[in-house]
Amino acid sequence: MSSVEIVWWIDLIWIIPFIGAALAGLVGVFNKRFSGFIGVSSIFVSALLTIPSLLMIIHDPSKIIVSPQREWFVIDMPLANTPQLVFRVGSYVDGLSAIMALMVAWVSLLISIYSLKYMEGDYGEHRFWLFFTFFVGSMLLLVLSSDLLLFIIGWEGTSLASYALIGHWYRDDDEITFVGDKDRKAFGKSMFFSPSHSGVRAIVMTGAADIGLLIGVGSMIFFGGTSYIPDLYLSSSLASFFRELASSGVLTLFLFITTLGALAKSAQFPLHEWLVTAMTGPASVSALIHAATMVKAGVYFMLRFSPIFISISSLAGSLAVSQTREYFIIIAVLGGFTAFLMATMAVVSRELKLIWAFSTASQIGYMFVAVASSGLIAEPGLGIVAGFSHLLSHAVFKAALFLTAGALIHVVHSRYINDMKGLASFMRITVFSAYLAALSLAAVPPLAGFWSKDLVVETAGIAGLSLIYVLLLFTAFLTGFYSLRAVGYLFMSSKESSHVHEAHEASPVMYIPYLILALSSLVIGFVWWFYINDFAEIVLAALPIETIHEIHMDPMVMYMSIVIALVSAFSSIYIYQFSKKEIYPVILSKAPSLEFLHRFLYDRWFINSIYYIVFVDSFTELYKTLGRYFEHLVIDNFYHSILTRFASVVSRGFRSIQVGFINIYLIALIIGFLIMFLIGMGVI
Amino acid sequence: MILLSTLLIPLIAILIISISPEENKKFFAYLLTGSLLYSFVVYMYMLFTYSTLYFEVLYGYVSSIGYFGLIYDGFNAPFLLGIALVSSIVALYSLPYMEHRFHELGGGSWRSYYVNYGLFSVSMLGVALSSNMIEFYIFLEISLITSFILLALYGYGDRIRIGIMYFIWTHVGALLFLIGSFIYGLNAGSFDFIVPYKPYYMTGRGYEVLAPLGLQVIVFILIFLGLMIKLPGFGFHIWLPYAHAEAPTPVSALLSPNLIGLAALGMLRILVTLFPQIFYLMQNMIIVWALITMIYGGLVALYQSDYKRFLAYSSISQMGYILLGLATLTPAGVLGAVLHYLTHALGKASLFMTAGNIIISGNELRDINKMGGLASSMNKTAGSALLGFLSISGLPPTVGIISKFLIVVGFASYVITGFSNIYLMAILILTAFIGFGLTLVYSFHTMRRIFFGLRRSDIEVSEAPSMASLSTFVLAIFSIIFLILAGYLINQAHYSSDFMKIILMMR
Repeated sequence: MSSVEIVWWIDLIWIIPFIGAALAGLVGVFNKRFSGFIGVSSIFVSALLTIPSLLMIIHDPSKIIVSPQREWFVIDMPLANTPQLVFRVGSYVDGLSAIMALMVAWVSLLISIYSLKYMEGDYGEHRFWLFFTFFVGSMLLLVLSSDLLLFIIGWEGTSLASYALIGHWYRDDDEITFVGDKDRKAFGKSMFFSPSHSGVRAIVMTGAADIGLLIGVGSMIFFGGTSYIPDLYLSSSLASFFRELASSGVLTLFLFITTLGALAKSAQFPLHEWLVTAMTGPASVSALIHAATMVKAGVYFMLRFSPIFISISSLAGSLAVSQTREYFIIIAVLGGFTAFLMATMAVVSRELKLIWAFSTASQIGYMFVAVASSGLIAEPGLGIVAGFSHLLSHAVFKAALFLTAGALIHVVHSRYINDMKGLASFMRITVFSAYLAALSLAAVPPLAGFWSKDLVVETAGIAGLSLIYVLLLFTAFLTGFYSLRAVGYLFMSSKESSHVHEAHEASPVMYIPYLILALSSLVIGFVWWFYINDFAEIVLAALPIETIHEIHMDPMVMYMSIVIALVSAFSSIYIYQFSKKEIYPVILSKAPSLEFLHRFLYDRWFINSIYYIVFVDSFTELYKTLGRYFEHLVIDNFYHSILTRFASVVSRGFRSIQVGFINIYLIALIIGFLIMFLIGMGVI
Repeated sequence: MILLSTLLIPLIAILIISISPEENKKFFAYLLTGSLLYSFVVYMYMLFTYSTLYFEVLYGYVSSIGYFGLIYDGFNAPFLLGIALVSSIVALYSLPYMEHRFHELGGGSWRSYYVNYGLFSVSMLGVALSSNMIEFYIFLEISLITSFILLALYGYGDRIRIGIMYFIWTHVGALLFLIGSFIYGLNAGSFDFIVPYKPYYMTGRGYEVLAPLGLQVIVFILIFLGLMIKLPGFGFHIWLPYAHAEAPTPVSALLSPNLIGLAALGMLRILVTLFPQIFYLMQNMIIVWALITMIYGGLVALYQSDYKRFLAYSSISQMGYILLGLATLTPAGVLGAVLHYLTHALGKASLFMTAGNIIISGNELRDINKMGGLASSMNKTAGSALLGFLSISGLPPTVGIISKFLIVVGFASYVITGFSNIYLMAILILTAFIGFGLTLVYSFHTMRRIFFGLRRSDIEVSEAPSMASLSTFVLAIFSIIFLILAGYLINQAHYSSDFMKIILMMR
């Protein structure tokens, strides 16, 4: 068992951003500009604090660091195995959370510095900083919390913050903040989304799926008898709970429901739609959501809980193990399919931020495949390491991509890549950063993206998921193509777009953060191979699964990956940078039969329209019917018309016998006596 | 006599108001706010200091009726805090709002308003504090009559008719409750559901004193239906949208979250305590009813275009939450239900106040279709509304996250332990997804329709008077404060664990 060290200041890492958020909101009432500095400095402090915590872990990976656990409340559970369920407030740092927190804090810090300039003079500047800092705080809370209820609070906090930031430009008065093409419709459903609309989509989709998280994690807390994360690792009552579920055949369903929250948060099929339209937020918000927070929370959930599922189900017996395997296969299939699905959409998209958004969901699909593979292979640690390392490399290059996208969109006042032609000669640093990051996304060696993606693909191969393996390789090809297509437009000649000539380099406050991010992608790529085994040791030491011996990369897979990456990247470079052609219009004019395919992909496989038709329309019809007819004609009418009319009819009937005729009264009297007599005789 | 003082001091304030000259409206408001705030502070103080069930005998033992007592335990603490806090802040809020309303009605009596308002608040505190069915009924009756007067005198629309409708409906409920209580009480020899000696809770007493099972079921159903009308459950809810939408907004803010939720406390105090066996017998039915109430309220709320009527339907849905948590009869579910009362009190009251703010500054603007983009001009109101919607949909940083979590967990453990058919389980879980998800849909959809996007009419709307907008915001902020204090509230339920244990053993 690993040793525990108690360090009091760990809690500050997530408390300080919350305080910063409150202060930023308060101060913003008086001075909007100043709230930004409060936000940045609070994130800076927690970023600084993540370093010593990671150093302590590196010094002795088998150690875990906790903060003093303060009791929050106790729920009495009479008749349960654990009569008292204690909820605590505290933090828990092992290799996984230390590295994750470090990444979250530092990437967020760079994004926040960029935002200082990017959001300057915005009408909601202080609101931006309030929610931005709250976002970082929630994410750090969910990464570092030692208690599952705190984890849930952080988790739901990111939902709120993403809602507020996606809908940041709530006035819906500027089309550059929208997503999609005006007047474009698919199956009669508009494909043009305003910021306030996208905010609702995000919170409804993630929030509704989070009910699954509450059900799953809540049941694990209450049946496992503890909410302290390390206690769950080998909890025997949790194992018996799993055994019970497995014996009634619902363990797979239970685990899947538990994961729904993570699937929605990480935008995996079928819950990916919100992420696409989330591009209505400011570019720095997109960077934050895609690189450091939000979508990474779902992967972090998988990284944190898959080892628990694996170890508990192995304690719970073979029935549980087989159902857990089923669950992991479902997750892997969903991840692999999402990776492919979103990559195909990215290939045809015309909006720069949208392309990167599709690629995020696609790359997260890779991570899900890796983590799910951990439940299917002999060395579960390999899947965890592969997923986590891809998460980290993706965080770095995706943040750079979104930040550069923000700068590029700002310069040309357009979301579309064909309006950005020729920017390469005006914004060298920005385009260089974007290019480097795009190469990393394309998995061109030796950038970070290459190594981590290769490890994911290899893990899927080891897990025996051959179909997904092929799908991932094909997706890698698409990825290389679309990522260089997106940046390739920057190098095309710009005859028609004259405003490009007024373009100038972004301010250093903006370009230094993304330059750092892009360069670190390169640096990580160079050192990745030398440190991956140490990394694996640090990450896995405290998890309830065995550490792996050594990571061997299969040279065959690696060669294949290199070939795929280079071929796809160079074909894209050839088309867009050397021959400088927009290839789709040419293809479509030559082969009109492909028109439908293009529309199919461009309208996101019609999934959005299908959702609106199946869910939104049917519920709209339902509530209209209920509100208009059922509520009024049935319920209201029954109580306030039928019932009252019935009463008045009855009253009229009774009144009609009391009209003053003595004979009627006498007859009534006699009948009354008769009835009483019969009752007295016992006849009635 | 500390609990008695929380009723007496506001009562003295009301007495002073009733003999003061009419024009001192500010004095009335501050006096009432101050005295109700005193009650709130006392309850807070007890939250931090007391660690046992606190019973104060008002009046000694009366034969065949029992003790008239005031109690404070983990179950009614959220109710007391919610009522005292909301009614004290809304008393301040009434000042700008009723100014506007009186102006519109062409006059009105501040003294009569505040006397009725004060009595209404105090009687709700009394309901939450009571330990005896008769006491419960008397306080409930006072609250019904005073709220009826407020509604009929200062309401909107066809206020007399709606007032009478409200009065009749709630009295049908009260009457059913009373008949059930009489059958029980006259057989049992006392109407107590909590007594001032151990074991305090008269758990399972109905089983001991009402011999035939049929009689127990009849009493249970009478009281249950009575409280179900008050709550209201689906089918009995039709009076609520009328009353809550047409009452003057400060009264709606008290009616909607505070008064109706007390029926849930009544269920816990009377039905669960006295008739746990019958409750288990009916548990599945009640759970289904709660789920239907949740979903139906949410769906019909989506249909509404009147902001206040929308909020009224949302209250119906929220009552489904509370009933669901309560009916699971798990420690988590019951705690979640009582905590959700506080969540809903803070959230819904501040939402009604935002509706009032829009009415004040938007010249009677209530139609959501004519709103849109209001956040630009009324940022404090928009912030309060966001916090209110976060509360009722159970998202941080409000206390709603804890109560929703507990209710969901209670429901999950009810499903997992109570059923073995995988399809039935899946259907129940799916229903829960729809029920809780609908709250998110209608909350944030309406938030968007009111505050975001483009303006959909040219009605001028500016921020409401600072007294109105600030009091709204302060109340909304309390939902964040109570997230931190949620631990104390839940810990208060410790000393009810014996009660919970007996309930669980009767399953």
